[in-house]
Order: sequence, then structure tokens, then C-alpha cells
Amino acid sequence: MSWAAHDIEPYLLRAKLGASISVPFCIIGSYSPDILTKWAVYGLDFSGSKKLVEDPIKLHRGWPGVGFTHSLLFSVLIALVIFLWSKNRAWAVSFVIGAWAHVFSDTLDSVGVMLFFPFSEWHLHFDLWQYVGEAGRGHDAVAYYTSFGGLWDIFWALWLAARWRILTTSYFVENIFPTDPFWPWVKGKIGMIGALTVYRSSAFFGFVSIAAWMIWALFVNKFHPSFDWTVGGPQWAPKVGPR
Amino acid sequence: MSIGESKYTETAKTRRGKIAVLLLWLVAAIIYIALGVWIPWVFLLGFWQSAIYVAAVTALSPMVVRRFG
Repeated sequence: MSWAAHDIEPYLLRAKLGASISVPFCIIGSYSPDILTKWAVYGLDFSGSKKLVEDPIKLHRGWPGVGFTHSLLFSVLIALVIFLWSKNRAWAVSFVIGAWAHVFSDTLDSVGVMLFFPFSEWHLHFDLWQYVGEAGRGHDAVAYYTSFGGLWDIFWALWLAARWRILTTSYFVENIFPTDPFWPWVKGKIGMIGALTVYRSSAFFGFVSIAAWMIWALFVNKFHPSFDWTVGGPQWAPKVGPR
Repeated sequence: MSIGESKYTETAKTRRGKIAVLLLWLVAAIIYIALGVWIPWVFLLGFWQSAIYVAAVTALSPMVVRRFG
């Protein structure tokens, strides 16, 4: 799985594709595939010793399970509901783009996703890094940030750092606020500070969490604190695939 | 649709002011990274956990602009 790229992708997609992307709906879409399952995958504590389900991989990405949230069709159906409710095409399209960005990021690990569910339960997986979610959050953090997964997150963090101006107040006021009716609505509810906070939170969290997890994995944890940039790494992690 | 400039959307007009706001966010990020490294299970599990922190820095930003220009 991908850790913090999902927090950042919507901003850079907006910067690339322009006003046709609604940042909040792209963020919701980006979070949507995992929104119901992350806690169940990792268990109740940081070490992963308090398991909630017997087979986290099957629950997260498989069938029977909630793996259908990582299919292409699932987000299209949710987007249809968003469109029927809001009549806003940009919100619906942004949701799909955010969700698909998440889904394609997740194809890079060893379990992958059921891209064409319900028509097929076949998983698309490129095996660039191991899926280690079933070992608990702490071990997954070490595995992810010391393998190619960490590089994937760093790529998005550096891209965001290079485009830091998209997070400034003036960019928000001139380019984001006037092009999406979501923002006047939010401003009406929680004020301008609230709207700016909603806009920036996911990007800020994504950026700082990449740096913090990387430092934690390399210098704080006592478990394999070294990089393993091999395909399918880290090699100490049990090899797992689709279930 | 425009919101114009209010006390909440004041942006730095001078180079000094722009650097001050940039430094504010850099320091804020470094502090949050340190908190995350210290207690990851409190600060690094979801973006909503950082939202109050981001709100505080966002509220602080116009004050920095007024102080430094």
C-alpha cells in the first residue's frame, strides 16, 4: 500500500489539470478506497498484535472482503451518486480521479488491486514493494519507508515542495476559492481560517508524515533500519500476494 | 466570485514578509515532524490529527504578515 502519496496527489493533480479538479472531492476520492478498512488491516495497536480480522489482505484488497473499493467501477458508482446529489460534474470527476490515483498507486505493491471487479477478481500488481499491512502499522512503516515505497512517497513530497506556492493564501484566494462552489460553502460554515485549514491540511500532513516516518524508520526503530531498494523489497518481509 | 482581501487573507507584500511567512511554515513543519517522530501513533495516523495544528499556523500567518510586512 502507499502511505502518504494519497494525501498529496490531489493537489498536484489540481495544479496540473486546473479548475476541472475540485481539491476536496479529489482528496475524498483519494482516501475513499481505504476509509473503511485501514483500522481493521492494522489492528487496534501500533505493533499489530491486537488483530481484528483473520486475513487483513483479503479484507483490504480481496473478495470476499472490501477489495472492491479498489476497483475502477466502485469510484465511478460513488461519483454517480455525487453527481445526482450535487449536479456538479467537477466534483464527481474529481472524486473518480482521486480514487483512481489511489488505486493505481496500490498496484505498485505485491498484492495489488482487483481493478476490474466485479467482472474479474484478477489483481493487477507490479511487485515494486512488499505489502506488509498484516504485520501491523509499525512494521509496515519500516518496510514501506525503507523500500521503493518510501521513494514513491518522497517523489510526491519533493514535487509538492517544488510547487509550494499552490498552498499559499494568495493562490487559494485567486485560483482555488473562485473556481469551486465548495469553498464559499465551507467559508460560510467555518470561516476563512477554517476554509484555508481544510484546503491545506491533507498536503501538510502528507508532507510532514513522509519526513517523520522516514526518520522514524531509519533512526528510531530498532528493526532493520536500513534502505532496501530492490524490486519486491524489503527482502526481510514475508512474500505475500493476492488472496 | 471573489472574496477580496480580509484580515484572514492578508498576504505578504514585501520580500521580508514573504520570507517570514515561509519560515513560519517551515518551522511549523519541523516541529510537527519532530512530534511525529517522537510519538508517531499520536501524530501520524491521519490528516485530521494535524488539522488543529494547521488551523493554528494558518491563524498565525496574517499576524506574521502584519509584523513583517
